[in-house]
Amino acid sequence: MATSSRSEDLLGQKWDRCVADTLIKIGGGLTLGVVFSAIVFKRRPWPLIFGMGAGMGMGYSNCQHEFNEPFLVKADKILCSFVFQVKPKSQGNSEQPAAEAN
Amino acid sequence: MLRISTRLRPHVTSRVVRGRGGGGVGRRFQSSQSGRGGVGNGLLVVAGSSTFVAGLVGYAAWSDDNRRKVERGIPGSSYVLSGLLGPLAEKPPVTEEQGLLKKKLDREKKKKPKEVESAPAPAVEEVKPESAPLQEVTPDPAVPVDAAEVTTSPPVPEEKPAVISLEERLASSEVSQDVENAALSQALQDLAYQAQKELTGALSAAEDAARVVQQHAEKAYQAIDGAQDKEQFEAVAELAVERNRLVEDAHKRIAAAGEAVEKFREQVSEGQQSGLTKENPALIAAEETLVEMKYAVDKARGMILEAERDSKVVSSYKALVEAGREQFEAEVRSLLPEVKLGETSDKLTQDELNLLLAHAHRKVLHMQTQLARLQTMEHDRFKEALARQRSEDSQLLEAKVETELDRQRQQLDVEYKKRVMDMKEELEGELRSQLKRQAAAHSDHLADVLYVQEKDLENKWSSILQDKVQSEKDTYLSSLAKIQGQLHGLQSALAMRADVDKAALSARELWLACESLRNALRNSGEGAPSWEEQLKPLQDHISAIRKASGGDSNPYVEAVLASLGEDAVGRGVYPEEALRERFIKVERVCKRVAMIGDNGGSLLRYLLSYIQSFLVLDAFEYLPGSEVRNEEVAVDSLSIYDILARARYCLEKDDLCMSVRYMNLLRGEARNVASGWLKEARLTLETRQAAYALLAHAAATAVQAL
Repeated sequence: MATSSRSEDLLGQKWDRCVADTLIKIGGGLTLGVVFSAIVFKRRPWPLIFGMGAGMGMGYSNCQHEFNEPFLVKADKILCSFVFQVKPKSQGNSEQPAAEAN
Repeated sequence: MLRISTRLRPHVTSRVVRGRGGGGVGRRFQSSQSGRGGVGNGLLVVAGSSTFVAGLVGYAAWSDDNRRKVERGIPGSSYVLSGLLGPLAEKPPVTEEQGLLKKKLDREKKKKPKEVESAPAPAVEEVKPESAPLQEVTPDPAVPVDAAEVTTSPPVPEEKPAVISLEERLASSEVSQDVENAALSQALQDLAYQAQKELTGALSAAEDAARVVQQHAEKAYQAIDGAQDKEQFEAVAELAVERNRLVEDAHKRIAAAGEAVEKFREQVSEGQQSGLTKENPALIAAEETLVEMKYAVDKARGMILEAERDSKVVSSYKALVEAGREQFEAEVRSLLPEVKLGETSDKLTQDELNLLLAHAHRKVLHMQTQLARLQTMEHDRFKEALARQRSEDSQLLEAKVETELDRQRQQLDVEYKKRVMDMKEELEGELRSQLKRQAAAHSDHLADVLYVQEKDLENKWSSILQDKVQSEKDTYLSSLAKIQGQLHGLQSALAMRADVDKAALSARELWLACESLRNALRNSGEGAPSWEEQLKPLQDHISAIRKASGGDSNPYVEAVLASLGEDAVGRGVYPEEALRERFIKVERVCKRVAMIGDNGGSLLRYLLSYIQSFLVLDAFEYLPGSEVRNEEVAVDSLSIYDILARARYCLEKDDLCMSVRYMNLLRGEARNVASGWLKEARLTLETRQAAYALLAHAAATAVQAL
C-alpha cells in the first residue's frame, strides 16, 4: 500500500519511518560497532552499544526532527508591505493550510 | 343592340347597316308588292278583280268595236277574249268598184287607220300587240290588201310580281339578280342580233320589192300609155310576177322581222317587269334598238305599202285603161259584132272602117265633150282632189308626224330612261358613298360617344369600386389587425409560456442536476471497495449544472460553481460516511497526540500523550446544554479531548459543519493530524453548501417557473 496521503496516517507513517529508521540505524550502528568492535576495538561490546546507541540516538533524533517538521517556520521570503491593501505574499508556504500566522 | 354594335368594328357596322338598308329597302319594296294583304284583304282583292274582268269581257262582247278597244287597251286580252268569245270577225273587204279616184281615195282612207293602227306607236309601258304576219298578198291588184290584223301575238305573260320570300330574296337577291341580268342581257343581245338580221333582210327585200314594184309600174305605165304590145305586157306580166314574188318575200321577211322584234319586245318587257332585272342598263339599250327596229320594220312595211300603193295606182290605171279598152271593144263589138279586134284579117272593110271611123269620131266627140266636162269639172275636182289630197297628205303627214313624234318620243323616253338610269346609278353610287361616309361618321361618332361614355362609366364605377374596395380593405385590415393583435398576443403569450416552460424545463434540469450533485455528494460510490474509489469527480455534474443553468448566463450559478474547489470538481468529494469513518481514526490519532501543542513536541511527549490517550475516557455523551443552545463558548478552554468529543458528538448527530467547526479548534499536532480530514470535510461541506445553494436556486427557479 502506497503511502496514504491522509494526514492521520501521516503520523503513523512517521512513526513507522521513525522506527524503521531507528532500527536501521541501530542495526547500522550495531553493524558498525560490530565491525569496529571486531576490527578495531577488539571485540569490545562498547562499539556495539555505542553503535546501537548512536544509531538509536540518530534515529530518535531523526524521528524527533520529523515530528517537529510541521511546526518549523520556514521563511524563504516574507514580504511585508505597509500599504493598506496588506496582502502578504509568501512563497513556499503551501503546506500550511491551517496556519494562521502566514 | 347598341352594345353589340359597339363591339363591332365600324366598317362591319356600316356594312351591316348598308346591307340592312339595302335589304330593307328591297324588302320593303317587295313587301309592298307581295304582302298586299291578309286573308280578308286577299278575298276582297280576288272578288274585285274577278268582277272587273267579267265586266270587261261583257263590254268586249257587246260589240266588236268595244272588243277591239279592249284588246287595244289591255295587252293580252285578245287571247282571253278570243278564248271566251271566239275570234274577232274581220272587216269585210271593200270590193265595190267605184269611181277610180274615189276608190283610190277610199282605199287611201281605209289604209290610213290601218297604218295608224299598224304604226309603231307603242309606249314601252303599254305594249300593243303588233301586226304579225300579214295575210298573203293577193295577186289581184283590184283587191286591196287589207292588213288582217290577226292579233295572234302571244300574250305577254303577265309577270306576276315575284312572290319571293324574304329570306330567299335576301339570300339570293344579289346572286339571282346578277344571274338574271346576265341571262337577260344575253337573251336581249341574241334577240337583237336576230331581229337586226331579220330586219336587214326585210329591209333589203322591201327595197327590192319596192324597186321592182316601181319598175313594174313604170313598165305598166309605158305599156299602157304606149303601144299595147304584147311583149311589153308580157314583160309587165313577168315583172308583175316577179314583183308579186318579191312583195310576198318582202312581206314574209317583214313578218319574220316583226316576229323577231316582237320577241325582242317581249323579252324586254319581261326583263322590265321582272323585279330582278328591272335595272339592267341593257334593257334601255334594248329598248332603243327595239324602237329603231320597229321603226325600221314599219318603214319597210311603209315602203312596201307605198310601192304597192303606187302599183295599185298603176294597176288601177291599167284596170281603168283595160276597162276602157274593153268597153271600147264592147262598143265596137256591139256595133260590129262580128268583128273582133285584132283577131281576123288585118284589113277591115270600108264600111267597117267608116263605121269604125264614125264611131271613133263620135267617140272622140263624146270624149271631147266628156273631156270638156271633165276639164270643167277638173278644176273643181282637182281642187277637191287637191283638198282631199291635202287632207290626206295632211293626215298622212300627221300620221307620219305622229309616228315620227312617237318615235322621237320613244327615243326621248328611251333616252330619258337611260339618263334616269345613269343618274340613278350615279346618284345611287353617290348615295352609297354618302351613306358610307355617313355610316362611317356615325360609327365614328358612336365610337367616340361610346368611348366617352365608357370612360365616364369606368371612372364612376372605378371610383365606386375603389371606395368599396377601400372599405373592404379597411374592414379586412381592421379585422386583420385585430387578428394580428390577437396573434401577437397569442404569440407573446406562447412565447412567454414557452419561455416559462423553457425556464421550467431548465429549472427542472437545473434542479435535477443539482439534485444529482447532491445525490452524488450523498450517495457517491456506493458499493465501492474503498473510500478513495468512492471518489467520483463532480465535473460531469458541474458541467451538467452549468449546462442546465443555461451556460454561463446565470451569475449565481457561476459564482457558486466557481466557489467549488478544483479538487472537488476534478477529484470529487468524500461522502459523509467516509468522513465519519475517517473521523474515527482521526479521533484516535488526535487523542494520541493530544499533548503536542503548536510548537511541536519531543518524542517523549508523544509517548506521554499516547499513554494519556489510554487513560482519558470519553468526555460525554451529550453536548452541554450551553453549546446546544449555541451560546458563547470559551474556545480556549476546550482541550483536545473536549473538542474531539464534541466533534464526535456532532458527527454522530450528522452535523458535519459543527464538527468541522469544533475540529477547527484543534491545535498543534492534532490539527496536523486532523488537517486532512478537515480539508476533506471542509471540501465536502463547501460542495454540499454549493449543491444546496444550487438546489435552492433551482427550486426557486422551478417554483418561479411553475
